Amino acid sequence: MNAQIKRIGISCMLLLLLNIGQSIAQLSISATNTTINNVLRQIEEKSDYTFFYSDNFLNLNQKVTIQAKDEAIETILNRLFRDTNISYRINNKQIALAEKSTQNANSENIAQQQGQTITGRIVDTGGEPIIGATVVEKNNPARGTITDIDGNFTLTNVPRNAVLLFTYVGMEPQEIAINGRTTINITMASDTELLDELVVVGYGTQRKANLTGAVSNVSLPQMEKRTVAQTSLALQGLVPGITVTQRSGKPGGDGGTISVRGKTTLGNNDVLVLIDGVESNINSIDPKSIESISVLKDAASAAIYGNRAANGVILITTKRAEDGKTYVSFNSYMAKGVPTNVPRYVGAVDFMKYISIAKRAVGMTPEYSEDYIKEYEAGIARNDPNYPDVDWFDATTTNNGLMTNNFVTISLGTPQLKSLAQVGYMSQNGITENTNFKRYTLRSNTDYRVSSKFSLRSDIALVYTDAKEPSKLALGYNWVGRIPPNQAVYLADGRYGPGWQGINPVAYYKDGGIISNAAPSGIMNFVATLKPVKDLELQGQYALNYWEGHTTNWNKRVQLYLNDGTPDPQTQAKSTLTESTNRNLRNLFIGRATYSKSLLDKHNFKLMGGYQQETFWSKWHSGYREVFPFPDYPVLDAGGQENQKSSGSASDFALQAVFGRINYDYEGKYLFEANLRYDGSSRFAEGYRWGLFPSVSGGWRISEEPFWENLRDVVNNLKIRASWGQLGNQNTLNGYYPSQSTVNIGTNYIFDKNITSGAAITTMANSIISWETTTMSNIAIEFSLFKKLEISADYYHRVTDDILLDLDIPLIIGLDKPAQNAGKLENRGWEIGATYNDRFGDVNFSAMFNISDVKNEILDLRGINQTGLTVNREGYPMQSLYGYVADGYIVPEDYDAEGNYKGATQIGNFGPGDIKYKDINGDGVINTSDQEIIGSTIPRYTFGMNLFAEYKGIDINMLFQGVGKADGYVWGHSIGAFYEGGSMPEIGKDYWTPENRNAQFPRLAFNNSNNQQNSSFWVKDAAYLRLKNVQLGYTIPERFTSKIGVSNLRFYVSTDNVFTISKFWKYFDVESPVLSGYANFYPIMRTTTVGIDLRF
Amino acid sequence: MIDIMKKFIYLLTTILLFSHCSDFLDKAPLDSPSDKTFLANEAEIEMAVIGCYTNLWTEWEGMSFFLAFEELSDNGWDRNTNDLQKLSQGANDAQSSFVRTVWATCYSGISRCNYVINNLEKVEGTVNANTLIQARAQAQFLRAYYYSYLVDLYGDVPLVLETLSLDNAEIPRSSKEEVLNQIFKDYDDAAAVLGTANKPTSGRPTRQAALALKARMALYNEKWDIAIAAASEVMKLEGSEVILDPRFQNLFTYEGQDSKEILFSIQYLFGFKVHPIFRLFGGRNGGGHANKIPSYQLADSYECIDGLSIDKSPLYNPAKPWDNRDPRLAWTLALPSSGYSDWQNEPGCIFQGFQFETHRDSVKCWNYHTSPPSRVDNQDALNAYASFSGINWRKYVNDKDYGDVNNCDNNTIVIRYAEVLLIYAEAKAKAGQADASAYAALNKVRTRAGMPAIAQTTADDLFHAVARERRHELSGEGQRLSDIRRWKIAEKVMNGFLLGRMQKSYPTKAPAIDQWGTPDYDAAGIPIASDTNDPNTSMRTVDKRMFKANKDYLWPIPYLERQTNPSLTQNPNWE
Repeated sequence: MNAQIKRIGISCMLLLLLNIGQSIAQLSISATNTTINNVLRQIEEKSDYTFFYSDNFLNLNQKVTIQAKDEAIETILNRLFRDTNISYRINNKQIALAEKSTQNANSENIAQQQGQTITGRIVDTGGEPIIGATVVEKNNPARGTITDIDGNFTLTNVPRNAVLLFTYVGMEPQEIAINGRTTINITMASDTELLDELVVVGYGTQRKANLTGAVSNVSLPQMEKRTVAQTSLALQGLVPGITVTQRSGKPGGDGGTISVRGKTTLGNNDVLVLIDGVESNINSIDPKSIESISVLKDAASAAIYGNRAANGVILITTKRAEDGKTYVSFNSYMAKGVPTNVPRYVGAVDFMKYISIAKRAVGMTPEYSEDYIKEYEAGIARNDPNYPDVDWFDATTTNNGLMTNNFVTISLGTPQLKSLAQVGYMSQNGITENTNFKRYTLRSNTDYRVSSKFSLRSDIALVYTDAKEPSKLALGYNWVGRIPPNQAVYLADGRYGPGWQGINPVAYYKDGGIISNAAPSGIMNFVATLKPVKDLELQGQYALNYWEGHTTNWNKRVQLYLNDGTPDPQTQAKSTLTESTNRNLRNLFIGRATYSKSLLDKHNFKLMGGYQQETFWSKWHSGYREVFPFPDYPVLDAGGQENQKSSGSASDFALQAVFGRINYDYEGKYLFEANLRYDGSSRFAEGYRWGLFPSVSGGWRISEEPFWENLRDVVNNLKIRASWGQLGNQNTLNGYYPSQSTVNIGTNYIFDKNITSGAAITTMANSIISWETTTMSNIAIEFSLFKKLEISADYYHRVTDDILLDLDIPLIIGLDKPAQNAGKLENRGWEIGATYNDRFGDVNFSAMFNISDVKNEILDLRGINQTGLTVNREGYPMQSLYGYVADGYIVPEDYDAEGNYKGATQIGNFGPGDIKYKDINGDGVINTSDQEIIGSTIPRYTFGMNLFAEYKGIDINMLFQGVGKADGYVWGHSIGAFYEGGSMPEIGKDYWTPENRNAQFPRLAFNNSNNQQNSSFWVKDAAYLRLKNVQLGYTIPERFTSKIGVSNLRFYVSTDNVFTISKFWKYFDVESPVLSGYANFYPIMRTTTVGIDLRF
Repeated sequence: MIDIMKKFIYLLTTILLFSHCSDFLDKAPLDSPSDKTFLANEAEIEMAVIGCYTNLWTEWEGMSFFLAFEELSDNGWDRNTNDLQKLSQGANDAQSSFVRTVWATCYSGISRCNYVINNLEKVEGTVNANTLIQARAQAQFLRAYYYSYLVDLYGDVPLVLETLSLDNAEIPRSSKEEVLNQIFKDYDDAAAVLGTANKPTSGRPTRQAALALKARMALYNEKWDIAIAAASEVMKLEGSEVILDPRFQNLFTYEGQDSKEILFSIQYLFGFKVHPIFRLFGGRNGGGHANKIPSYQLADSYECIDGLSIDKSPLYNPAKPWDNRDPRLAWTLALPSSGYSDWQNEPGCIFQGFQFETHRDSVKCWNYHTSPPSRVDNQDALNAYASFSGINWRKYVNDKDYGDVNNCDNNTIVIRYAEVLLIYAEAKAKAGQADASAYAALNKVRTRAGMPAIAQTTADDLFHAVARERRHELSGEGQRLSDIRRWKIAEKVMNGFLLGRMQKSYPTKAPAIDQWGTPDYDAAGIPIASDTNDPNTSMRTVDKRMFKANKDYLWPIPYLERQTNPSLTQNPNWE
């Protein structure tokens, strides 16, 4: 008996780089008259396969003779088991053995039948058959069987009152009393002690039990429940320490902003998202393509990604085909969105009444006489188009908000070649005209198993998105909350009315041209894995990520008419067309080697080292023309020759890194890990380019200690872990060449009515900038109770030093400010996550809860404190709200007998009923030195709770999500009455009068600058609890569907953003972009979905 | 085990060394040159000089910033509740964006000029000497121009003449005197080199432009002799390259851009750099927003055609207030047609191609864009945001821009010859030299406009005559703010109401007009709108303004500037 190795010389980049000539092998077996058991052991030795079987029911001591040369495992096994009653099934690297046909094998027993025959099928929670599960009679363990490759079992001669015991490795054992039944189908859930679960970590995987860093796994079944267009939103509420904020409901723009453990730096805080190791946009992948998601939260676990990881890392792996499984699945849903909250403004008559009050209050003459208002009211009553009464929001909400998503997966797995292909199409309509988002996806993941030692992966993901919206959508939304309601949308004859100052959002949306943003992108990802000798794995990855953005901004002129039917001279003068294209290419190469070794079964080592390089370039060009005599042809050539423009730019950068990691554990009890990463960036000057970033972490699994033995029934797992690490960051930099002083060649001027090229140094360069450094410590405890409740709690402290900041410099220098390593920021936070799984009879139940908090404080800004509405100031959280402190209203009693105001002089022409500000510095005048921090924009105590129950195919899932403490700020014309020519919000009717002193809003005073100041008056509690999603589904029993060849068929209905509890301003969505102040955002949607999941 | 680790470390070190030595991370900008060799040849010098000009486009809402100064004076008002309006209400503070913008862009221009001036030495000998001289002269002219606004608005300011770095930027304020001397020197140096051929649309400064701007700064700072000398130099050039254009009203139109009265102007070009003055100043009928509007007080300050103020002239008819007035009133402002006895023959009440009328009951007006003219709804009366004062700015509003209100490209004037004549007359009067030449200069401006000459009286009378003349000749061009500050009348004219017309009538008598040309309505018993006074027959109160004499004559040093440069002191009462 000997095994032969066939040598095949191959070359790949990895091998070239490492300069190691290597060989690979295919399986050859030569055995004569040997037990099956021995052959299996040999296969295990020569490959990665492991066999699972139950000795009780299989005879593995049969002698066999087998000769195989360079053959695939299936061929060998087929031959090996040909004359036995053994069947097999390959599941990844695991091969399960079972009896070929339970019926036949038990035929003898049938003859001796005394009790009854029980048949049934065992599947896992995903509906997959469990092969080789053991079924025994509890009181008579000798009587038993195992399931076949379809998960079926038959047990004969079972007493009517017997109790059956079902067991399988990694699954929760079950006991079921048969109570006279003859068919028992059960679903086995995986062992709730998921400690053997593999978690994807940086450049590898790790047993969950052995993790020493703060890594969270996203619960995929819960995530899949969300029928959202953008994957970022599906993460909302599911992971402790992750905050996802949705600020817009615009198709294509309705993704969430993800922040991991708060904000690390004062600039770009984007989390690094790696899809199969390639930096990608999380929204570029359909949730249905995702196999697993890990979130690396602390420095120790993210350190291996060094230069991009300071804001946390989200690792996504995509689905791959599985061995021996072939299926086609189809997922489809249809949804309709309606806005959750929309601002409401007063009607025409109220508008005229209230603006008259506001004008009289400041000595101005109202333009509407009382007679006219009466006449107007009568005009509205008889629907006279000459007396418009317009709700501009409703008038612009004319589209259906429908969304459809169809997704097909085809999976085919053979031992040598596995292929998974996915095709998806999504279309989402907005609530405004001409607003639509489409996404086409194609993914092809292929695994080639060249030999037992060499494998290749080749993945291609193509995505094409096409977002369309009216070219003046943002402008329109800015004005729907502002145009007085007595302005006409349409004239009596149906032509477009004047709107306001040449702006008619209805006309703009319907007929004012379209911005379309087409973005094709492709990722090609090749991974070669070689295991030249036992314990050593070499892997090379090359990925090419190319994406384009084509923006066609067709800003079409649409003629508006004044009330008398004459053309409105404020109508946009001409149609313009701007077509621009950006092209981006990222090239990534990673080579790494991993070596694992156990000594004496106690000391377990794992070493990993690697090299990474990345280049990126981006090019942009744009063409512009105006005046289109044939507006049906929005292409550049159809535009006028005069005043045409073109422009373009290009930039690039490169990154390079080497990294290494050591893992060590002693008997799985004492865990240790250390990382080192050395990063270089082209954005820094020579000499400041490289940064060294170390991290260490350790853990102690107390529950593995002998002294814990007695407690293990209650607390079956207990681990404490701690970590410390440093990360570098350069993403905050503006531009790719901040360390180099360049001449701006765009400073042109006009001489003799001709453009003449000029040049100037406009931005200061700072050649001594280098990496900003984030240092993070984390301590945590994890435990599970009764194998049902798992809890983890983390506390962390993170300080970011040398923040790359465009710190203000003296303006007398005359150049734009450069980046400096200037700021220092601290985050302290904690997070708790808990999951609970249980079963009550036929009801499966699970609950998940998480809550986290982070406290952010700017420690140092070199004394340069900003002013404005949102500011960074030393000693306060970043992006704090800043302004005057409101102290109620000015009342008549604040004036003395001569009519002089007794308090500190307020702002502008103030009077009773205006907001009163606190004179913080006591100098008797309210001015900017009386401003202070009045709120924070960073949400605190973010939490999520997910409840799931399943009963006989009916499942229900509810996701609650919220924020415990947050400040919202709505200002400007969205909430202030008659702000800069605006309208008045419906809630503004509760304004101050001498008789209504507890009003919600100050007195009506036209153009009153006192009340328009940034102040705590407008800060509103934006804490909320939201039923983010509720879903009800029904899976049709397989016994019906299998007749039509369907293995799984589920229908569901689902609603997002069901209800919200908050104290925020009425009519404003609490998640809306409170900081932009104006209501000029696309409303967030309440979406109701019906869907079907189908699998053949 | 240990062996493997050794190999590991060896491998890592090799990769590390390899990567460190390679030029993989050397990246240079793909679309702009490095500054290392900048200013190496003639072409680069010319480009660098052009870079100094772009700060002339310092703007407020898209128009030249100095035009917005008008809205900070008793001549005008900005309807937006922005930092400009706050500044005019005395509600401003050191964080004002307007105050910071002017400071920042002036210093940005100065820094570019300094760069050119300091780096010309690098190429001395290798580049044509005349190129260097011309480059230096333009840079000095522009540097002096940018500094002029700084000293005028902020008083003492840091005098920066070198390229600064982060290490040496904490420069304290220099005395205004010191900065002024530098301004005079720069203008003198420039004037010595620049030619006198005057083509305003060339965009380039001339000798007379440098001297005129020097005279302006000298006048503002009461350096009468310097002002007289510099103005005289320009006046000597009157003839072919410097004229007083007989067509005053044309100076602010597209046709008038090349008038040789204009000594220096800011250049605009359709498709490249435009301004939205047609929208900002224009009335509602024409598609404008009447956003920056003149005060009614300005209209009433204009004399009658006999040279007497409206409270004294027998020609003044309160029912038809625009009859028999200084022609510049109608050339500068758009006036309601009902104020004329024969409006159809008065170009003054056709504005942007529409009959201009702001009487509240005037619901229809004539639209001259159609042929024949048609009756249309009168937005200038009906629209809630039509001009609050009932009148509009006319200067720079050109019918050509109708229908494309944001794309105006007529140049805006920095200085023109008429101002030089008035500088001369004022400096002479203030220097106690109210001689015939001073009257001649003033009367030249008056008679050009069709107004009678002023007879010789006292120097003080001459001064006030010039002061009034400046308002009538230059209003709408950005000079008024400096005037009321240097004459110290801002505390008077900027306290109280900015008024608009009675909505359905005109005052039954003229307001009292003082020697500065400032009308007083209370004194004349003209009602002002209030809780009890009907706005239809009372002067409309557009805004209430405040000006504190102990504070507002200087703008504050921008807040951020004192944060980054602690050596800067603040102006009085701005802390």
